[in-house]
Amino acid sequence: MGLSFGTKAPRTTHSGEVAVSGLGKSYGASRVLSDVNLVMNEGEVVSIIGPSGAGKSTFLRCLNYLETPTEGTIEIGGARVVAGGKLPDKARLDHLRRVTGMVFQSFNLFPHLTVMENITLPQRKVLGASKEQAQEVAEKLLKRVGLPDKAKAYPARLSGGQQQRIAIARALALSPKVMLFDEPTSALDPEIGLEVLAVMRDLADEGMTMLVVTHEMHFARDVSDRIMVMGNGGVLEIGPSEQVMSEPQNDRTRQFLKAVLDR
Amino acid sequence: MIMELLPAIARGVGLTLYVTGASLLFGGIIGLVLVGAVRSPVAIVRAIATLYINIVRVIPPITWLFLIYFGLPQYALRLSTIQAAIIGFSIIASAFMAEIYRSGLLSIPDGQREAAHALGLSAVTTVGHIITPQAFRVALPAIATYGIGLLKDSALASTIGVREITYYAQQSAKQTHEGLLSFIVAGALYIVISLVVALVSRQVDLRLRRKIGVA
Repeated sequence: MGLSFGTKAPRTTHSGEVAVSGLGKSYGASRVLSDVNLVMNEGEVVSIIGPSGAGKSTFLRCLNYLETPTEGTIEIGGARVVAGGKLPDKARLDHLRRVTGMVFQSFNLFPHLTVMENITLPQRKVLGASKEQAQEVAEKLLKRVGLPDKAKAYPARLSGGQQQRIAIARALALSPKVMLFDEPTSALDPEIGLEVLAVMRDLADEGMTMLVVTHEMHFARDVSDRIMVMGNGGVLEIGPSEQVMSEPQNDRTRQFLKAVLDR
Repeated sequence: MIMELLPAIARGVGLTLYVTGASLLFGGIIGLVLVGAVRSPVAIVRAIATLYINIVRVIPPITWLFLIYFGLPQYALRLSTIQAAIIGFSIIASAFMAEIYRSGLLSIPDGQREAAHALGLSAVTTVGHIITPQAFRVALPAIATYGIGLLKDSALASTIGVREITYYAQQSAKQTHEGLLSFIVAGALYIVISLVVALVSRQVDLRLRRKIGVA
């Protein structure tokens, strides 16, 4: 897979730092997430793995308040929110979303806008960038994700892998401090998924702080610094990637890893 | 004979288009307010809007026209026939347009709003730049279909004396005793206008579809 990234961007210093403590979410009496704690350093990559229904996506989506946590605190890149079961005030919410970028399983590009407009609209509306500034940033990012010639295309004209790479560019255009990936390759053919993983790998190499919900065990082991295993709405274990993969401490983790690695 | 009837009846095309177009425009604008109200977080606003939509839709158009044209003067509100027709059809169109918008909005996947939120777009930007253009694209064929329906309903305006196609057809029928031919000419005029509307909306729809695909 010959992905060219042109001249590699210099290793930028991201000041992303994540401190989540006691995060939980309940719907009435049913508890979908309980007592999740996670501290991440700048430039660290953490993969979140675990069986379906474990709360992985819910946890990730709580971090930028696509889901509303009912307890705990979230600190990301200087934004701090204490959960209370409702949306925080606008300034805090904006701040939190400003420092996080999210990539979805289903890409969620805006289908009525061209690739260029998908990447420039948020810059202009959120950062107040001029059209020229926004386009310049977009062109650089399109090169970075290997799609410099797709600026004028509409998303429907692109393959899933291309759409996902554009979605990554769109999120990066707002210079987030932490990138949240919610099963970014689950909707893609395994082969197509590789081009997305390659972009993510480069991003990690450049020092981006990343939190990745994934079923890609190779990516989890090779690219992430640590792996967090979730089950039943909580954290089963978290540790250096090699260690979690080769000598998991938790029975449920062992069972899960055996199931995914033996296939 | 047709050569005499056609220009006589075609005099009504202008007012038919005027009443239909104006009602669709005003109804479309009021419909926007209504659909906002239907989705309002305030329960009482939601209830009033839903009640309005349901009441408006079950009262026959001709009843609305009579109510406005013959009923309101009782309270010293005297309207011209054209005003009464446009107000009546605007009220009716607003309820139907609100329903069309609503189904357009429902067709937008949650992921679109989520992506907008995650990017930090404001509510105004999300509605204005992300949701509305997509909902409009989905709603366009339904709007065109409703517009053609309204065009046909506008014939009812002849009952309160608006000089549109059907009005002149009635006049011609009386004056020339060519009843069958008069109304055939009127029918043909409606067919031509409907065809033009249908063709234009189909072209626009196809162009949008080819360009951006269907969500």
